[in-house]
Amino acid sequence: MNCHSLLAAIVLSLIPVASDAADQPANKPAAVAGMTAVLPVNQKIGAPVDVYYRHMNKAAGANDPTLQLAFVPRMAGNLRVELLPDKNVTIAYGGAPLALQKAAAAGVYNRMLSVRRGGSTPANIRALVSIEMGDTRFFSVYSIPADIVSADAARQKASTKPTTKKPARQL
Amino acid sequence: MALKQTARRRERRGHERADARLSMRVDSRHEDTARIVTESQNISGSGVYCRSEHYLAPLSKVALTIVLPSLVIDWGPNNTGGVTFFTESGVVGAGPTFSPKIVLAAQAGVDTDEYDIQVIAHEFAHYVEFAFGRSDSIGGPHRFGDRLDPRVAWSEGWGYFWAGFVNDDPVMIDSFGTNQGQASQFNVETSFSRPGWWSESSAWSILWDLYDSTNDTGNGDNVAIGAAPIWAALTGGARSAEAFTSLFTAVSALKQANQANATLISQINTLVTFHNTVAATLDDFGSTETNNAGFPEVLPIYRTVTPSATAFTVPSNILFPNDSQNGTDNKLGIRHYLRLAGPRTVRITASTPVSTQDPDVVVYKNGVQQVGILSCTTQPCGETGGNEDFTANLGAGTYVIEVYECNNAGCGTTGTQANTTITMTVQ
Repeated sequence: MNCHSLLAAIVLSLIPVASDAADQPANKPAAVAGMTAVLPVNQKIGAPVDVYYRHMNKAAGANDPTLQLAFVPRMAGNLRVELLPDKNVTIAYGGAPLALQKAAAAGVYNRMLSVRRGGSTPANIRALVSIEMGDTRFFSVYSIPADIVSADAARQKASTKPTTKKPARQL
Repeated sequence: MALKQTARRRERRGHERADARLSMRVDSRHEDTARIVTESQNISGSGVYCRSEHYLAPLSKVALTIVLPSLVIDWGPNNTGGVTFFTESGVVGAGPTFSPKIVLAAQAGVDTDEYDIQVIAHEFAHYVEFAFGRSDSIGGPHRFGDRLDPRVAWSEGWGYFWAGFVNDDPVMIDSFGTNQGQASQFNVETSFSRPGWWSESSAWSILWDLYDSTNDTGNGDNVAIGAAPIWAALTGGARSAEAFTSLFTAVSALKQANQANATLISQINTLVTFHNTVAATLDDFGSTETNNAGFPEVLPIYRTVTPSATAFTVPSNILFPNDSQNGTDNKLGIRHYLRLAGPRTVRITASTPVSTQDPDVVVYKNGVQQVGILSCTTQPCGETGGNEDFTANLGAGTYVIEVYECNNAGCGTTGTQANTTITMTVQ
């Protein structure tokens, strides 16, 4: 993807895509098919927003790979996303905060990022996602692998994590 | 305050902040107020660096007997942003010990908790619940509006109620973002979503409406009992309940303790009914509950089992995929409860149709996992991979058996989560 098409993608990405109703049991929206769901790192009460990501440039070591993010509110409200890269990664394009008034419940809001990793160390981008509904606002913190190499490293780490029959009680 | 300011200056000069240890004492200089003073120390014991009086409780509200087990508060400089929790089994010092511990977020620009007294009080509430009452919560991630395992919903709702109570403010504020310049906020009086016995917001709202003196009848609130009856219920009847701790055990204990007061019982029923929960006939087990969250399999909340050779099935389903985007393990529908009366010796088996699935069966009495009464061909009972087959030598009383598919509950090895049916026998 060249710079022009990337910019076009950024502009177009703010259009909500119709999806399943927020309160209905359903699989993830078709608009995020092929994307990976990411769990928040919070143990505090979190924002009712689902977050997905996909690395567009699959070739390992590709310069400035593109990271697609999708945010799916589960309740209507004002959606705000702040992206904070690790110290060894920069966001060349698309790193500005996302602020949407009246985001639709179950709407899919995309953001395309061009990321540049500074070294060989896997890197993450933190997404601070909040949604405001009247005088109520919740936020969650997500940690998203910056590129395919970082995602592979994260998967490897997860697969070697010891499993226990009883998850730790963290309240 | 002076000490606190000194401490902050010291941090700004670049001193590393060690894990903190919290101690508490009661300052009873005042006639009508129990002032609980917290003192946070460096784990190295180099001295008090933070002293505060966060928790003020007029004696008329709560009668506290302050015999607190030790509590470690980990506010380490490397704590990841957003990670804040209470655990009962932290590892402290040289060896593993069973010790309550609060971990607070400390990542500047992402999420810190140093300005968020409601967040700290919420985690402290879990500790209070652990120390004085009882919590059977399995913890895990939770978002506003999630339909949760009722143990989790109750415990989290209690935490936010407590935070409002001790700070005398129903508004919860949690700062985050660049320069801690943003804040989440909600009001335990007015913020609730998807009310029901699975909702943490119903739990906090019911508790707050019971406690506060303001009646908002539009929300079924025409009651104001203060904190003392709530505290008495949670440290009394609810603590000794045979069922898991939940909205049901709390409300049941409260009604039981006040059964002579017909007006109050009626007010409590109105409030609980507003949150889509059957109140008039409510018991510890939610036996008469009719709100199934849209899925008949959710009810009964506890299935009474009479030992026989006849097999029966128990589902472990991801009923709410949207909620489960935030983790499946503690969402409604994954785990089901059985209820079994002792004394008797029973053989319990459980199997699933797919070999990669792992049915788990855990036996509890009064919220405590029972291991010593079990005998298995393989050890530990109820914790082995694959199908379950063990004998339980039950004493007198009612036992609760929790059943779930391990991958769905977030503890499996295959990582494949799917709706499944567990076939069981209890004979």
